[in-house]
Amino acid sequence: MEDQDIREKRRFASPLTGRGSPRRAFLVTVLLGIERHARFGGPPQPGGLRTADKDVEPDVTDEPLALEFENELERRMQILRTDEAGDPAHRRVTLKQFAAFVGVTIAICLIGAGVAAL
Amino acid sequence: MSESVEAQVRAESTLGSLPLTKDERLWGFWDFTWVNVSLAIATWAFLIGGATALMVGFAEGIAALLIGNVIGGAIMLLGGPIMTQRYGVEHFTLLRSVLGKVGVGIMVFCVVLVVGVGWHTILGLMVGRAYVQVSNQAFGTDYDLNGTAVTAVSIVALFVAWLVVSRGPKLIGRLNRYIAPGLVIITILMIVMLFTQTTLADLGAAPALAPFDDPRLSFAMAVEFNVGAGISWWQTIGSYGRLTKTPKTSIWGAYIGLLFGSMIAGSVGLAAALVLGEADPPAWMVPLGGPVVGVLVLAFVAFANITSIASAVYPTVLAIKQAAGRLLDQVRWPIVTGGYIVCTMILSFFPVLMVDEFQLFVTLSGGVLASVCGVIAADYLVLRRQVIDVPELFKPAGKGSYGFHGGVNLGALIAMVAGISMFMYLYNPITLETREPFTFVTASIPAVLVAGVVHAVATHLLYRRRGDGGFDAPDVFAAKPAAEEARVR
Repeated sequence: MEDQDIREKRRFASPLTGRGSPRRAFLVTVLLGIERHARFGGPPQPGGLRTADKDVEPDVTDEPLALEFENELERRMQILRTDEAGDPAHRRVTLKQFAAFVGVTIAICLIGAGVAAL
Repeated sequence: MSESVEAQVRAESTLGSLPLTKDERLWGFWDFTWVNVSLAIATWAFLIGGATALMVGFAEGIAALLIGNVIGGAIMLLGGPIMTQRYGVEHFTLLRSVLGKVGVGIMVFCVVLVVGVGWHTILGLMVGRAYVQVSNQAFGTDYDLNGTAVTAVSIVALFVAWLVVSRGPKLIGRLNRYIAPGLVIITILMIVMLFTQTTLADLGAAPALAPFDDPRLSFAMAVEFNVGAGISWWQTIGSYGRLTKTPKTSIWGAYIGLLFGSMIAGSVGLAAALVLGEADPPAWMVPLGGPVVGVLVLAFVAFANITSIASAVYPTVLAIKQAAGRLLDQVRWPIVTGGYIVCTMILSFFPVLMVDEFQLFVTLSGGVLASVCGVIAADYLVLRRQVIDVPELFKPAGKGSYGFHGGVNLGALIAMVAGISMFMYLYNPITLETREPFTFVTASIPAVLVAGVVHAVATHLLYRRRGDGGFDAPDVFAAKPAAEEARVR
């Protein structure tokens, strides 16, 4: 819960001072609501606030789906950044693994060349 | 047409492109390996084995299948599932980081569409030839295997495939549940029938059906053809990679599964073609299985081809729909798929051209896809160090980190042309002209290397050194340093 509060404060932090405030949070929410209303004709959805650096554009003209898309992207990115950060499922391929992959490929090719030579 | 199909497809083409979370990943190592085995033991594997028999005998054919599929598979894996597994984002959406949003559109329309239409037409013609053969055997008709009857049946088959694909992904999934195990049984049945009719010694002694004078060149061409067949999995496995749970699963599951499946089914096609002197599966299935079993097997394989077409058309048209963006957003799914199927129907009027040039088509498309994979591997593994800024992928064309020049990474396009040029320089599958290195290193491997190096240099000069292209993005999966964790707490 505390983490959530800190994240919310960061979300509304001023780009100049890095500090957040309830007044700024309110102002940003209202402005984003107006902007969203202008674009999609509806109020902001829970958990789907549009921020300046997340100006995504799904290739659909269906407004509810576009809105759902944005909310869903935001939700999933939050999970990836927090719950799944550092998870082995998202590890990068290491040089050693890459070398093993190339090595196996070369070894099978040599076996194939041996079969062809028979 | 029900609204639910439109909703399914529309949701899949938009929400379906979003990153999958860990809980949504379906496949562990054995699941994914089995999926790949089932994919590889498909109808086209018999065709590939049969076409290999044109150039080489049994031992060289097995070697060509092995070497070709291993090299093709390795190239394809480096250019697809490694990325999609880590991020869980839809394949072509992820490629926006490499080519730009418009660049992906160009590639989908110039490469994926052309390759897809070609493959699906050939599968349709295979159905036509199969049923004409069934008719000739069962009813004593005398239809030509390259005649108008084949075209007519192909058009009907493609129409049925359209009926399936236009009803959305669920029906395709249901049909494949029965078709995939059926094809495995048929492959085993064919192996048994083959070895009741011939011995390994006879197989080894059987000559290639139409080899070149130079046996080394014939072998190199057979390898290159199989490299093309291996790379042709790029789109499918790239998409499936995002459903796997770990990097090891995505790489080794696909590698082992596809190699095993392709080898089994390809070897059956190769052996049957050599023993019966016919490269075309519909032509050898009846003589191999006899008038009853052969006709039943042929009828099943033909039916399986229809679901293969539907299964393959679905992701291709979905990619086209996504690449076209708002242009096709309001066009109904049956119309988009129908337009695509009509293209394959038109090509079905040229059965001789399509079937005779199957080898050319597979090799040439393999050369193009090898260059694409070289560009992707250089971009993702070398320039970006496997780090992509996911939200940036969804920004409008020409904007954000992956905006490049009006939504096109010019470096990537130059690199693809360079890679394809290298391929054609070493081996021109149209004129069959080759250069000396081709018999040692194939044409695809140099194409991958040239495309990769040119992309790395050109993209660095055009974007990276200027701070464009999102090459300094933070890693979303990087574990937080302990100090930051403590501060947040």
